[in-house]
Parts: sequence; structure tokens; C-alpha cells
Amino acid sequence: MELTDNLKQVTLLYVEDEDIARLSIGGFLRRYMGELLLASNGNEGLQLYQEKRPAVVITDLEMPVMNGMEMIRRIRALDHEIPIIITTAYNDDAHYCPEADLTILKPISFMELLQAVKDCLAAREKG
Amino acid sequence: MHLLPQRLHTRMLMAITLAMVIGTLGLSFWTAVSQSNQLLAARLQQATLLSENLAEGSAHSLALDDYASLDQYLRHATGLPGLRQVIATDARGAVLASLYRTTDTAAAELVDGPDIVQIPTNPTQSTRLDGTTLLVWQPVKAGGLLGWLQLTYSLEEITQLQNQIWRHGIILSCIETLIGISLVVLLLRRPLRSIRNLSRFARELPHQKGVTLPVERVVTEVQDLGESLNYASTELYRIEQELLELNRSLESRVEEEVAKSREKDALLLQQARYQTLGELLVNIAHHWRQPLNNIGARVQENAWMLANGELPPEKALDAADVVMQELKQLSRSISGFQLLCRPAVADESVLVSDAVNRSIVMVRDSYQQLGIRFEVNLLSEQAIQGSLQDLVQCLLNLFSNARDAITERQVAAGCITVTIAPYQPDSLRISVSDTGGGIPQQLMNSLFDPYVTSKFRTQGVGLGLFVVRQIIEQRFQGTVTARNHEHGAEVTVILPLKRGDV
Repeated sequence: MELTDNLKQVTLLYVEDEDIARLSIGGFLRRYMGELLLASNGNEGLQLYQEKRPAVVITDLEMPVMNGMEMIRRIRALDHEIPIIITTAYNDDAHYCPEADLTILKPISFMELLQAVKDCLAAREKG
Repeated sequence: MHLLPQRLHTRMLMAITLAMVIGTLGLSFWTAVSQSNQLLAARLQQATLLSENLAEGSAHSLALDDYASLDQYLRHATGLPGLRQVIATDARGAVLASLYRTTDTAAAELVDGPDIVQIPTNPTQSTRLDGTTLLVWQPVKAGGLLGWLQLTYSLEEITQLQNQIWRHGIILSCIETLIGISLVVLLLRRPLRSIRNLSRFARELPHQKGVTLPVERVVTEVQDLGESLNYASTELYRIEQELLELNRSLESRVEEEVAKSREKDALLLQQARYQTLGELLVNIAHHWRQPLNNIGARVQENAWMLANGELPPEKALDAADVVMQELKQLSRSISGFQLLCRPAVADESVLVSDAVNRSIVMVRDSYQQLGIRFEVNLLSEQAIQGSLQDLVQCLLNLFSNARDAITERQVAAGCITVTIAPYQPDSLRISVSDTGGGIPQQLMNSLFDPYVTSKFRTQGVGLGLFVVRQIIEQRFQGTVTARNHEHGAEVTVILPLKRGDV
């Protein structure tokens, strides 16, 4: 409960090009997070990150304009500590991203995603 | 050479006959000449001695001019063998007595003749051969020259001897020749007959391979020839059998190798099919997980809203409708991918545009993610004979190559252009052109060989274009070529139209 309350202090960036997923999952996350930032591609996500400096980033990989890999690489260049969670439909070597903390394969369970956010934040707090 | 007889044994007989005749006659000639010369020398010696004795014997009568005694003496003297005529003259050549006999057995008789004969000027013994007679002038001396004796010896016996030798020689040569010919015929009869048989056998050998003849063991050469021909016959038969066996086994080996090759091709095609499926599975991951994710999100969202009383009943149907649309999209994508797993129907009517659309639908979404778009130029709406999934697999392979080339070159806005156009009255053309920079020149000659790839080793095994060629050539009786253009590569497939559509 304490952690859920703590989430209300947290700003989360969710980057997803699929409108339905972005809006549904975004709607769910918004209930728990202090602030939710939504972006439909890597470029938008990177801009939002630079503007708002969220505490957690959740991102898809294959997206137009700038894909998730590139966005993660650039965010990591700015911040080594920020938890990054990948949500992707691909489960092959070409989509393996070592810079991310966690990869969740679609379809995504809301609770599982929420738990992942909590776990990542807890891991960061422990150092 | 044409005058010589053609047959070997006739030549041998002629040679032997000629050799025997020439040899015998030569021997006869040599014997006759040799014997004659010896006899002549003996007769000459005898004649000179006899002449000297007669001169001594008649000297007394001439010294006393006792011609009766001389006549008597000479009449006895003519009994000497070979002596035919004796003429006694005085020192000036006046004939004192002349005796003659026709043969050795006949008695000598006085004959009339010239009163004076020409005597030699030199009072020494002289001889002269004159045909078949030997003439000897013998001076009769007793201190001085008393007279001359002219003695004529007959040499007929020498001629007779020569004739006899010649006659015997000819008879002997004839007999020898006859004996020689008989012996040759007798000795060569069997070998020659064997040679004739072997010749006939050799001529008929192609039709009688493996047959052997009994070998005559009388003459070594004939035996060798017979054994050689028998060996040739058995070897010929053996080699023919080996060849027949080889032909038989060759047929089966060729069939076996062809079957192996077909099996290998089938395996390669299968491998390529799996590779295509493997690549498609990546697309399926996106194709399915994305809508699954959307469905999941919707379902969870709706459940959440329902639990919290935030979902009015009229919105529940809309929410379900959204979910159902996603599910239908999933179902459609299953049908598309199922096509490749279905056993190929080799002889169906395939609308090329349908195959192109199906192929594009399978990969479009994932290619879009990579910034690759499709352009389709449909200039022909005709059908071909073959299998839909084979053509789809070919197109997917071509798309895959184009995608890899575009992503490798990191082209910002990649484009794959598919053109379907008439080619000939009985064929159409499918061109797949990309903007991936083109095929490396060193791969151009071996582009359609198996395991040829320009990609990094983890990206592909190089079966794509090989499989395309195999399928297009073997299953559609078409052709496939590749070339580079300004922005990339273009693979052109020519396919014969379905018969009814020509």
C-alpha cells in the first residue's frame, strides 16, 4: 500500500504507437501514477523525457519515426539510473535490448505491468 | 604385285617351286660345267701324252720312209679312246697317211684327202678346240723334224655328259618340285584350313561373342592365333556383359541419383519453406501479439471499469465490438499464414494479383515498422497454372531480400515496387524492385545458386533466390532473372499464362 501511494509521486512515460493499447493501458496506469506522459513514437517520448524527466519509462520497440531501441539508447546516455521497461510483441534476438531493466511480452497484463513498475522502483530505492 | 597370287599357300607353293627349280637347275649347270671342265682338262692331258707317244712310235717309220709300217702303226693307234682321225705328213706337209673312224668301236680306215695340208710353222705341239673336236698338231722328231701328226679327238662324250647332267637335273628338279609341293600341301593343309576357319570365326565374332573354337595344336602360330581369337571372343563377351550390367546399373544409379537429387531439392525447398515460415513467425509475433495486446488491454480496461461501476451497459457492446474486430483481424491473419503450411495444390488456377496481395498483407505491418512501403502496379489481371502457396513463397522470399537490402543500407523511406504486366501473348511478368542499393556485382553470376548470400551469417543461409528459381522453373515452367537499377535490385519472374487465358 505504501508503494502504491508512493506511485502517486511518480511521473511515468509510456511510449506506444498503437492507439488502443496506449489509451487503455495509459488509462489504467493513470489511476496509479502521479503523472502519466503518453507518446506515440520514440521521438515524442524522448522530447517528453527531456522536458519532464519522468521516474520510469515504459516503451514499445517497433515504432515509426524513432524506434524504442534508439530512444532507450538516447535516454540512457542522459540517465543511467532511470528504470526502463520494454513492452514488445517481438521475442527474437533482433529485439533484445540490454539497456532496459525489464522486457514484458505482449499481450500485457495490467497488474503485471504495474508490478514491474513497482519492482523496478523498489530495486532503485535499494540501490 | 598384282601378278602374284592372292592366297598365302599359293604364294608359298610358287616360292618353293621356283626355289627348287632354280636350285636344281643351278646345281645341274654348275655340275655340268664343272664336270665338263675336269673331263676336258683330262682329255687334253691325255691327248698331248698320246700324241707325244704316237710321235715317238711313228718316228722310226718316218725316218726310214717305211710308210707301210707307219700305216700299220697308226691303224693300231687309232684304237685309242676318243681318237677319230690321224693324218701323218712329212716335214713339208705332204700327207703320208690319213686314217679315220666314226666311233670308238668302229675300225679305222684310210680315207682320201688333200695331198698337202697346212702345217704349223713352229715345230712344237699345239692344240686347238674346234666345237666338239680337239685338234693336236704333234711334230715327229728324231734329231730334226721328220714330219707331223695331226690328231683329231672327239669331245662328244663331254657334250653327252653335259646333256646327261642337264637331263638328270631337270628330271630331278621336277621330282623335287613335285615332292616339295606335295610336302607343302600336306604340311600346310591343316594349318591353312585352321586359318580359314579362324578367319571365318573372326568375321563372325561380333555375332558369336563368347563362343570359342577348338584350337589346332599342329602349328605354333596357328595355335597362338586360335587362342588369341578365343581370348578375344571371351573377353568381348565379358566386356559386353560388363557394359550391359553397367548400363543396367547405370540406369538404376541415375534413377537413384535423380531420386536423391529430387529428395535433396525437396529438402531444400522444405528448408526454405521453414525459413520463410520462421521469418513469418516474427511477423506473426507482431501480427498476433499486437491485436492480442489491444484485446487484452480492452478486456482488462472494461473489467476494471465494470468492477468500479464505470462501464455503462450501452458501452459494453461497443467495447465487445472493438474486441471482436481485433479477433477477426487475428483470424484473417491466421488464414494468410495457414496458406504456407497447407500442402501445395500443383495445378490450380492462380491469380497473380491475389498472390501478390496475400504476400504483401503478410508482411506489410512489420515492413511498415521498418519504414518500408509497398507499391503495386497492376497492369495485368491474368491467371497462371500452379500452386498459390508456391508463388506466395517466392514473393515472400523476394520481399524478404528487398527488406534486408533496404534495412542494411538504412534507407530512410524504403520502397518495394511490385509490377504485374503482360510479357508475351502467352506469359506475364512479375517484377519486384527495391531501393536497397542493388546486388553486389560479385554475386551476380551465382545469385541463384544455393547458399549464396550477401548478408551477415546470422541473417540468412542464402536459399531465398535458389528456391525462387527452383519453384519458378520446375513448378511454373517460368524463368527468373535479376538486374540492378539506379536505386536497387529488380528481380523479374516470367510465368506462362494459364492455357485458357492465352
